[in-house]
Amino acid sequence: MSLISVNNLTKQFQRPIRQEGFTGAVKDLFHRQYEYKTAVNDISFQINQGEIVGYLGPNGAGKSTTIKMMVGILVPTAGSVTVNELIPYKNRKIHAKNIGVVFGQRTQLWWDIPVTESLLLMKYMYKIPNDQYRKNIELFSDILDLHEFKNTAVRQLSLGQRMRADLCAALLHDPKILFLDEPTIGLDVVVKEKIREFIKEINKVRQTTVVLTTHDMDDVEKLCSRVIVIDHGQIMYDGNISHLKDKYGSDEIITIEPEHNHDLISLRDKLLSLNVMDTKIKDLKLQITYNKGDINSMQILSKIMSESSIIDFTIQPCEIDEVIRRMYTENSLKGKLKI
Amino acid sequence: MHYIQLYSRFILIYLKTRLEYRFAFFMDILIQIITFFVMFLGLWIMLNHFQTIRGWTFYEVLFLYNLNILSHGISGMFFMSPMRQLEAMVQNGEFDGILTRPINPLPLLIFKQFQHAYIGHVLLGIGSLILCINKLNLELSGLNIVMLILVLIGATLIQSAIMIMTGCVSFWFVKATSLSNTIIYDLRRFLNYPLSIYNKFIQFLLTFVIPYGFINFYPSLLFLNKEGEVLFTASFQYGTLIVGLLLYMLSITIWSVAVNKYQSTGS
Ligand SMILES: Nc1ncnc2c1ncn2[C@@H]1O[C@H](COP(=O)(O)OP(=O)(O)OP(=O)(O)O)[C@@H](O)[C@H]1O
Ligand SMILES: [Mg+2]
Repeated sequence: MSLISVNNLTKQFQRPIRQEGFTGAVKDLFHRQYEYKTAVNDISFQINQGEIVGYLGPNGAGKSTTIKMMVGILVPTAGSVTVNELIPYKNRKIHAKNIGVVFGQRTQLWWDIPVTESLLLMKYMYKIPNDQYRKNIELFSDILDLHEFKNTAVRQLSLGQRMRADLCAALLHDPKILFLDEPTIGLDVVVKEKIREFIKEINKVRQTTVVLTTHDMDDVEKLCSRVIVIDHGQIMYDGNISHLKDKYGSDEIITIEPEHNHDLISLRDKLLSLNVMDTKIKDLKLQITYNKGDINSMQILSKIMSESSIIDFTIQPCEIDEVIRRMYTENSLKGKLKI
Repeated sequence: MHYIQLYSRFILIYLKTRLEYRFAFFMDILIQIITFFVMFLGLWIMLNHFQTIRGWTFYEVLFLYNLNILSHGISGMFFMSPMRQLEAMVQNGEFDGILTRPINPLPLLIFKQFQHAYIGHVLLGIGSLILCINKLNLELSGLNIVMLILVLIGATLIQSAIMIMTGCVSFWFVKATSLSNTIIYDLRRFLNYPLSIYNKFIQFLLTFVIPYGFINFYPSLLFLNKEGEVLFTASFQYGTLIVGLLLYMLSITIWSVAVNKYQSTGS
């Protein structure tokens, strides 16, 4: 039996439709009308112990909603979630001991008190034995560099510091599973890296299963052995990351600004001899889309620089959202072709 | 046992953070005490003028008032802040965090949000209750003391249950605060005077719909030997604890249904 088992899971939100004006308000009071929004639509997957799974999809895809059902915050409209053989919303207290939860957007720590006191509160709340607590605090403070701000009140922490404190708090009770909803949102590269290292380490040493959502392709590449992609509440892809990238995700875009505008057209023509996918002229800049499997950026740049002088260039790596968008359009095209 | 330990931890932290602003902390309590005295004075002036309200003397009305204020103070320390904050917590999704902890949501909310301002309420309530007992020459037999304690427990349960139920409304409707204000403050104001002075509708409402009457009016009949004041049935004099327990159980049931209605937020 898998550690997490999601079967035909559906969540429908109910939103009251407010009518305008005073008479509308009175009408609302007696006869409420609702609209329904299906955020998660009949999805199924299994996750085994020790996996790090990236749960991906564009804004509004239903990622957070699924996570909230897995941690026991929301009650499913239909279908089922079982985590470690428990139904989360029915066994909240026991379930909470098996899991650690971090929402990037919101802290779980106590706003007014120093980090150390907040962590101590976790000890009492989760009944963590003394030596386990001491060992974990030591280990986590080292990897996450908590020392410098452990006596600061949570409300005075920077976003990056707060995230690190939150991660530490979520893992003190040695949960079997860690749920992370956008753990790296708004963080700088150094902190992101630190957090990724930490997650990896915990997964390796403790066999902690990790489910995380993110919009950062780097997170996915560095952490996830497997990704589940959803859009409009439905699963688009479930499998390993390299396959996903080979299939949809190896396109990059180079944008070049030549010194002389009249070079634009001739440059574009020259590039046709290379194995690139698309070239476009926009705002006096040249945009070249290419597949990393066919050609690399150095080859393109050296070709261009041998032909003309350029002022500036940027390389836009593949974004996970872009991969998903591409996957989506491709799938819906396929769907249309079938009809 | 775990809960008691945990609660003492939370209280300690609460006091620590509050006592950083010592002045504000004691002001809150002082303001409560002053509010109480203003009420006390108003009652005194009125009864000096009229001597009695339908046969109830000053100290009898004060006794009535005290049962209300004391039970409101005790339940307010624990339930008032959580239930007031609930609307905001449900709307901005902060309630999410409450549902991922190994503690039941209701106790956890209570642990996190003690309300010290009600300490003033409770202290004065006890003080002036003792005064009333003295002035009214109420016999302090063992039986009477036990009865008084049971009545206070029942009354506190009624007050708490009503706070919980009005809080639950937040899970279904936004803007629940105005409703809870009406019920907790405006309607409860009727309790300042004996239920018997009001018309039948109010009496019915405060006995069977929102059973505030059991907080002070009915048990007072028992302690003050007011046989002439019986409304509906004399057995209501003994009803406080039972009504309290039933209402509290009902409120907990509604609470658990309400929690599963929680929809969180989109971001
Ligand atoms: N509490 C709620 N009430 C009503 N609708 C909601 C609620 N929560 C989410 N939704 C809707 O459900 C859909 C999925 O939302 P969800 O938060 O799961 O998306 P997401 O994949 O996490 O997106 P993002 O990447 O932006 O965080 C959205 O259309 C959203 O508007
Ligand atoms: Mg989200």
